[in-house]
Amino acid sequence: MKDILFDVIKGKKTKRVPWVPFVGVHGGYLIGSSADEYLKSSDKIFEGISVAIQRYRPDGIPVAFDLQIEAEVLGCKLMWSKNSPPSVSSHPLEEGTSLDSLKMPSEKDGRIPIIMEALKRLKEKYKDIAFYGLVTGPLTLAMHLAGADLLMNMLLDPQSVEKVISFSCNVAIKMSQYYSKNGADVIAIVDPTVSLISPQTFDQFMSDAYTKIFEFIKSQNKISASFVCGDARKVIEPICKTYPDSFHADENVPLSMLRGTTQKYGISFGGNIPLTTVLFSGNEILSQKVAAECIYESGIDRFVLAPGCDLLYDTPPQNLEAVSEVVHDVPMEKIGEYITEKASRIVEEKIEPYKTPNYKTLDHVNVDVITINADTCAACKYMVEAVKSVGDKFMAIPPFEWSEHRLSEKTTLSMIKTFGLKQIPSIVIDGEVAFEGIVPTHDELVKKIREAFERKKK
Amino acid sequence: MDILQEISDNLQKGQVSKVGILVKQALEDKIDVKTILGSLIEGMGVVGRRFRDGEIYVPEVLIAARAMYAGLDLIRPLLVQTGATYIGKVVIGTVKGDLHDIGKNLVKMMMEGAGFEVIDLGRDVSPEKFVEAVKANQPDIVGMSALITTTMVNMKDTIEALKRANLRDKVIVMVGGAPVTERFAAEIGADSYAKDADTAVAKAKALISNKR
Repeated sequence: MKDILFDVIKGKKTKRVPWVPFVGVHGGYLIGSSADEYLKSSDKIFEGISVAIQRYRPDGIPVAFDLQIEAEVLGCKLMWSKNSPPSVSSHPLEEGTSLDSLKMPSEKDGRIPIIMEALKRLKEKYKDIAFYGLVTGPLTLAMHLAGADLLMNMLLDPQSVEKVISFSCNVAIKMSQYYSKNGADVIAIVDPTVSLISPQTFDQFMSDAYTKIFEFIKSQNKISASFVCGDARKVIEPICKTYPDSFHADENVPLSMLRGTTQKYGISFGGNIPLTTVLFSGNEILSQKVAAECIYESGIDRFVLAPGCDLLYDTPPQNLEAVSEVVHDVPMEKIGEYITEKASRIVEEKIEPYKTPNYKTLDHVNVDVITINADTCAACKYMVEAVKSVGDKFMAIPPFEWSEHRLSEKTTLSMIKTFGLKQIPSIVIDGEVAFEGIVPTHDELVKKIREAFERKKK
Repeated sequence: MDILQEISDNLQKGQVSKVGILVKQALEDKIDVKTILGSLIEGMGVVGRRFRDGEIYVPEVLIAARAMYAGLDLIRPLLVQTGATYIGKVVIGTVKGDLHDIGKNLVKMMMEGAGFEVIDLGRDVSPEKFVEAVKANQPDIVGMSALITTTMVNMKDTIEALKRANLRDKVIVMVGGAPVTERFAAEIGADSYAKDADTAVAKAKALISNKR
């Protein structure tokens, strides 16, 4: 519920953490619409976010997650996709358009009215939910307009870069105004590209722009937020000095670090359930475990639970429903216990025990070399070569067969569990761990093989 | 100061014209072209390490790389004439649906700076295009980059396409990009993940020497 979110951002104590799933094109997936159709229709956005609200029980949610809206209005060509937001394929300033000829986007330009219409309708229907208006950050928009050379020009031609950033800053303020007017509760400046620049460069080019934008948002009595992606660890502090009310980062920034810095400045922080390895390709139990870990690591003090960034189009909805259960149904004091329980279930569920052959009845000794990958891992390669060379020299006595098992194979995980291996690479001889992490000499290896052969006779 | 050291130092500072002048001077002084290349490699190596360690950022690397090319472009024809061999061949591209190529370009620049031959397929590269390029160029390594979480899944499609074309075992697949992780790389069956351009070069060298 939005009051919980507001309270947390203001630093008040709450009973649970607020939850803000970053539903972007995933809203299209929820209603069977492709990403391109979805982002061009206020009806579809309304419908998609409505389904997300019903299924994921959020306290806050973005109206749309598309960092190309402003760029498109300003003349960047877009490449559309069925399952992701569009990408900018041309940069007008790079192609000869002058900055002075670019007009400030009006509320009627491009897809801006579509987003604002969806916002108004959602706001009207879901009075208990906080809606986030997402604005393209000034560096990201400047790079959309001028291309990647803008980064180089920060050093070679700083004045021209300052002009583009200043323009992009004004666009961000305009967009914030439109979102504010149409009812957004939180206005977030989403600037993934700031992770590419140094803290000094941020201070030089971005700091004033950020401060100006956040001051404007606050002057509208709205909550301001900063979203970054990638390894933005070094710019967290410079961004905090521009005083957004809330700061979100993805899994590249450890939550403990984000908490440490934001709390110094009295700013709330949010994140960072991994989008791909957990929410997209993981299952419900993993999603719940990781969400609980985020809460455990952050505590309820000023923390907003969210994915690292824009949810992938076909993220399994059941994983997000599972996260929502953690938020709504697990009491804070039980979170630690809950994580342990989920972790043990993951181990049990994921890995089947390895079906060992009956070594006694085999007419040869069975040598299993467990590796990460002998083609790519040097230690694994030596382990495999050690076994191979024994085979070459001692072919006749005693007979043995060997095989390499790489970590990428499912059965290898079963073997690690069944044999209780602590290190890789390892050699298991007739089901017994013979060498772990240390490459044996020829003599040591032959001795172990002989011993295993002797055991068969007993 | 030794002219080779000067080349390396000026490259690190991104001094395009100075690197050009110094390389020309070195050639006039009859310094072996491979030795000159060595000074460019050394300079770019320092840049890569400083980038990896967070001492410098993308703008500084782009400028240094520009200076590197000012030197490399002068000696490239001579390297070909002397029959100098590359340390490996890399086919590289940003995956389908993704138009972001800063990261890919950084890796390309560092790879070239380290002595690899790099075939750059550009951005928005389909699995089929990767397969064609592997068939045509027989590289040691296929490098894929993605910036958007929604396109990184296309890395897997490329790996699958390489498998279908019976090419997967013939190349080392390396992946990278802001949203990509070690775990994701393992899940999709890539051979290696590098978190930055310098690590990509170091891993590429190690993987190639293991392969040979």
